Amino acid sequence: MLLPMKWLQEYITLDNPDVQAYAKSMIMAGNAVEDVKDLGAEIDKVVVGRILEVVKHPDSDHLSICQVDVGQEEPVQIVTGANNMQAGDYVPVALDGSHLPGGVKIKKGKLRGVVSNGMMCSGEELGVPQEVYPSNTDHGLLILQGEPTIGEDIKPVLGLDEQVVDFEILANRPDCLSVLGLAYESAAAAGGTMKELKVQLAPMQGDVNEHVRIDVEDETLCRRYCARVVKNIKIEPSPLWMRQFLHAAGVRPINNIVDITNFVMLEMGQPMHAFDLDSVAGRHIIVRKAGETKQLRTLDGKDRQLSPEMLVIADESGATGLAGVMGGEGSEITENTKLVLFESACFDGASIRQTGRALGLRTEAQGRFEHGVNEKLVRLALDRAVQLVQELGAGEVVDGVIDIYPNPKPEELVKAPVGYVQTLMGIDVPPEEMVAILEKLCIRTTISGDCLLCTPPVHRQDIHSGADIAEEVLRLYGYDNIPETSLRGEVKGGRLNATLERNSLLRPMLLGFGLYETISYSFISPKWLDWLRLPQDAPERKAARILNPIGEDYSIMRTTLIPSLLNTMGINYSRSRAAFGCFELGVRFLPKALPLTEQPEERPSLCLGAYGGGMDFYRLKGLVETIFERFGLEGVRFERSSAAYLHPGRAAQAVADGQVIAVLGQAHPDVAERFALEGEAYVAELDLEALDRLSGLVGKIKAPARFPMVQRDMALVMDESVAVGELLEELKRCAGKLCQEARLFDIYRGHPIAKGQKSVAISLMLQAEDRTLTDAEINAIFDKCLEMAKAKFNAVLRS
Amino acid sequence: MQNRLDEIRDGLLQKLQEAKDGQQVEQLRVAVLGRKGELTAIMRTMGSLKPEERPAFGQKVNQLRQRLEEALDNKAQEIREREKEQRLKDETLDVSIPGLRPELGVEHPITATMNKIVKTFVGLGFSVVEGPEIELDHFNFELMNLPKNHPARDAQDTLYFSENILLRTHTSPVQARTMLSQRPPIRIICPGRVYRADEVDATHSPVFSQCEGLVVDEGVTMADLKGTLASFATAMYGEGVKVRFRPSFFPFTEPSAEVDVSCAACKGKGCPTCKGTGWIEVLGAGMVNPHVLEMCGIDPNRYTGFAFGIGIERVAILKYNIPDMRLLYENDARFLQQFGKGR
Repeated sequence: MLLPMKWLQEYITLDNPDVQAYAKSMIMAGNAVEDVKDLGAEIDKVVVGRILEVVKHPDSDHLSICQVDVGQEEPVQIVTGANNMQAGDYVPVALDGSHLPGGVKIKKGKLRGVVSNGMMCSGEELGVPQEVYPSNTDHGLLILQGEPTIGEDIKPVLGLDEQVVDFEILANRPDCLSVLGLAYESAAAAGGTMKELKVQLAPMQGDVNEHVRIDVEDETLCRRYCARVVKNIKIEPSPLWMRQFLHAAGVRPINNIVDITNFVMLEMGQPMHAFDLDSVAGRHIIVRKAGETKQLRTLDGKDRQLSPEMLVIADESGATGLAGVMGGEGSEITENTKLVLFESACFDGASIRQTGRALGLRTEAQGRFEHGVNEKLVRLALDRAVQLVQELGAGEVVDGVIDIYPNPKPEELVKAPVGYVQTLMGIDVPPEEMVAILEKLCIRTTISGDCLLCTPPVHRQDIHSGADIAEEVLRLYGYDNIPETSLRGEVKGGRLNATLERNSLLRPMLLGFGLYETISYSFISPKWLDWLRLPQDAPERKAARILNPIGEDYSIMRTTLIPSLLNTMGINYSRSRAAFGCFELGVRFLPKALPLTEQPEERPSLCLGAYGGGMDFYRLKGLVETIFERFGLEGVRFERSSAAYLHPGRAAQAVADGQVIAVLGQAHPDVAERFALEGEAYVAELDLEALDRLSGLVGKIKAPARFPMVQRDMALVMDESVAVGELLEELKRCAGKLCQEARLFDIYRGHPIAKGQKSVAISLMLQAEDRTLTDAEINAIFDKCLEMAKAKFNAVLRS
Repeated sequence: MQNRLDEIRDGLLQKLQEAKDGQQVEQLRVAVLGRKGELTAIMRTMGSLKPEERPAFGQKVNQLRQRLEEALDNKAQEIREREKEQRLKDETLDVSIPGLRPELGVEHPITATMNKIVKTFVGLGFSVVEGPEIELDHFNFELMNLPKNHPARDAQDTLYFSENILLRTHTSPVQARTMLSQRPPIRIICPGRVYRADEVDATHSPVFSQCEGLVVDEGVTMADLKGTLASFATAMYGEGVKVRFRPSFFPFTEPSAEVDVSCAACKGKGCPTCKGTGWIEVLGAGMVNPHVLEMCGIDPNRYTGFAFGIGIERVAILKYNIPDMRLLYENDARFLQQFGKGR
């Protein structure tokens, strides 16, 4: 809301009119200020001048030499290229050393050999648009109207001595979307005395009912409808003061009638509409839902498809306007309009909002109705509008008013227990002081026992509860005066929840692995699922789709974090990072049915990704194994995975408790390529729900054995097809409980090992807790293991 | 005899002086004191002496032997010391050569910021509660005093899956769920991801993170809110940071406040970071609207409460001077690694 300070001061005498001080006190009372603008800030040393003489420049066809009276002892000589002036005209003169908008500096100089002591200005050069100052022609000097004082500063003459405060109005304060409402607020917040705004009409003739009939069919969506008729309309520009106020408030002046509706809207907050009554079929206005009426051409020339629930202003032939949103083209005011109906109404905000949204419209009036138009001020605003019609001589106001207001809201009495207000505020402001503060806000208040009884003024429709009263008292008492106290009451220790607790163990470990933590959007592009080579019936494709995504690339909720990590790796790879490892902690959104009829499962997930830096399948697997070990998972088995996005020979899944708890491997080369990765890229995704469920506590602690550990090495030759992991497991089992570990330390292929065979070197780590093992014991175990290896794996000791 | 002993002694001591390494010392030891050594040989001649001369002679030889052994040991020790010194010298490294570093991962700045905030509030007795990111309209809006078609919903452009299922626009639904399931006293924080239908640009992201807090108990006041947030500000920004409340409006709180902290960069004097105001807006807060308490089954005549909501990205952006919000979700290692260089 742009508030021109001069306009504000039409209704209030501010105790301190300094705009910076004013803005500060308004801010501290909760009226956020986005900006304070001085319309003439950049203009300096520009004055009113009167042209005394115009002669042609001797050496130029298009230049003229003017003698201009600028209120100094001698006229100044100015050379100009304009040709719309004549002797006797009043013009703005930028003197030597003056400043114009845009950082322009004017200095005296010579034009084709003739001295010029300044510049006469156009409207454009001063930032005054044509619609504000109509004598401002396209390519000429701004010829001032009337007889302004010669030598006077130009800013007040053109309304440029205006300071405009841009307020960000809070959603609960639609009253402050008006100059008058802000005047009331300013009186309380910044200090000032209200001036009375007299809305009084001169005597009128005729009867409004002879000109129009109005029926409101839907009293819920239209709580109040007021109308007046003006005949013999004279469409012309509105007066300069009105155009200047509108311009300063950011509204373009158009003509007297439209300007009056806009002026009253800004002044009182009431959106208004003017109809050409001769274009209203049967001169009968019906406020109703669109129902069977399917279409309406709005005044922006577009045909709008109506739905039955939309509220329209109809006449006897159909809809003639979208109530509260936009008028219809058919009843628009034109230069030929003679008979005008002024409408001032209170429509239901929610309904207006739905209509606007459905039609993709967002008008000033619509926004005001959505935030709530004050039904008590509807009639006053209408009277104010026709008062201006009378004052401007824009037409003859017909006597009488139509005011359909079946259910006036009763005056509200808000009860606020003093103790409750004090508790909310945290300050024991005495009730008498509360009353004084509330009275400043025009909230009539009495004290009854330990309760405040408050009657908010007509312009405040947002005060309903004790909490509202507390806020009003507090914001004027000063938020700065709220003390800082500590929470009392039963003190219980604060705790992390299970998720954060788990992450506080998991995250430092991942960082220690050298992985960067990354965070990606939870919604992804559907094409990423294609890039993963997922078959059409893959569970990952069952993703929830956003109805109104910000773009197709952000339209489905991820069912796996893998593509996010591949994308992150691709970004880093394409930016010349040779090696990169990362992880992301997030959730997978797993819908039970599509489209969503209930909230999906949100399953916590950890995804790892890495390329370069020596990353390979076994390193990746080692990371996953370490995580499982750290969380005390037991009985995890790794087996081949058929995940479509992984290299078929380098894909594994971890299974525990009969469930896949992790998938890991090298990204399929086609997948990697899609995500702009070259070479080997590795990914793993761990189901943290399973991790949480299967994780165990640290077991019973034993003292370290005091007897030496014996290492016995063997190199076994076997067929390539033998799974070494299985062999190791079997060896450990076979060696019995004295075997602490069967540890792989080398795999060798090549001469002298036959093709298709490999030599696997393994250490058996043997130890007893109660004695040193004897050679005999050790040899027995060793031999038993060799026998087993031969029998089960056809593996023989390398000779 | 005595002469011979002196000869041996002088001969050994002299050679010992010239010895260069441990081996030479050992050779000398063998040559003089060994089984076939000079002194051993003299000892063997003792039989040719008169019995009464033998003890004195024996004593002399033994004294000499002791003395020579001592000399040999000292020399050997001296040589070992010298050799050790030499070895250490030979092992000297160029300490200016860069070390071999382990790769260290870096926590994402959003996580780092969130964790710090969470830790602060846990220390103030708040417990962490999380909730679903895909929410029902009822919890996200209705219970937060934002009925359908309320214009304040405009401030939270929402991504929908159906008329009633949406991506939560704040973590407030977790507050609602907690109030519905737990009796006061309530003292919780709700960290998590939230979503808005905002186009991506330097200052907007459709995905961001919040940490909201809620306290409900008998006699909770706005002053308690201010005190709590002052403790938070001190923990986050350091001692001496001040908190300022400005009146504001949120549908779910009344009274409501925008909360500023004094600019840490200029100590409140005014600088580019705070746009010259000396204050930085960090969060929104207020007393829980009695209507919200009522809808969540809490008697507003008995209990009051406060709530606040902190935008994590905003805190991180201000703390680290991050020039563009998009950087936070792009995960360029060159951006992320900078957060691994300092606290």
